Amino acid sequence: MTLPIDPSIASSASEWAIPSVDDATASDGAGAGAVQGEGSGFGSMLANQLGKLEATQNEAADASQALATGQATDPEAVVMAVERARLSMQLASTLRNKAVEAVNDVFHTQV
Amino acid sequence: MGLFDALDASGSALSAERLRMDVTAENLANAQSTRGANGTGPYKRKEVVLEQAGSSFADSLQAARGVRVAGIVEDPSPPRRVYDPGHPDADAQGYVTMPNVNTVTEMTDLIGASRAYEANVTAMQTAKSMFARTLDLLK
Repeated sequence: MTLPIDPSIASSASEWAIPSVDDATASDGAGAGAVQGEGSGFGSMLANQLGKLEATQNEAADASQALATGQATDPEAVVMAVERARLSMQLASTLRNKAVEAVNDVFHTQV
Repeated sequence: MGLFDALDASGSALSAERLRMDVTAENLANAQSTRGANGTGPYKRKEVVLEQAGSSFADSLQAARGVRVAGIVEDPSPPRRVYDPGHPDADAQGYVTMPNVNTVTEMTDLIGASRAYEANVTAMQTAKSMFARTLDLLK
């Protein structure tokens, strides 16, 4: 003996359904827009800074190669490029460690 | 004010002091050159003129701007006259016109450039260690 499915139950079930990520971004447009927006927000700032970090690393690598192959005319410029890359990398890695530490703190929260 | 302004200022000073060293070395090397590069008269002593970097108003608002080379100028002081009749460049009276380079002055310039270079290296190291100490706050 089968019971007929009440249409009102089926419709009310959607209230308990977990929305997908796309739904969440669609319904919560303000928060998602801040992350995805160009030129603003934490994500783009991070990407921007990482791009600059990569640029300084490449600059230092090029300068070191020029020094090694005897093409560098200004050794001070090479030292400056390497030091700038080293300090930038120190800053980035310290900030990254701090961020990972914060995330771990969240994961270890007792519930 | 950027993160590496102090380093950039010290770095520009390192380049400037090395150029002073180069020019002093050239003066010492040509201390006995009776013929200049352009063929007229003896070698003339050269000197580096340094100036503060940054000329715009926006630059003047920044604290650390560094130094730049304004130019390399010739010393206008008169040349030395040495009696040496056997020299191929001696004049009718037997006097040779030697460069206006005083070796003692060049040696003191050399010491000055070397010490100034050291001072700027120390300033750069201090800036670096201050930056590293700031990062230690996050650990």
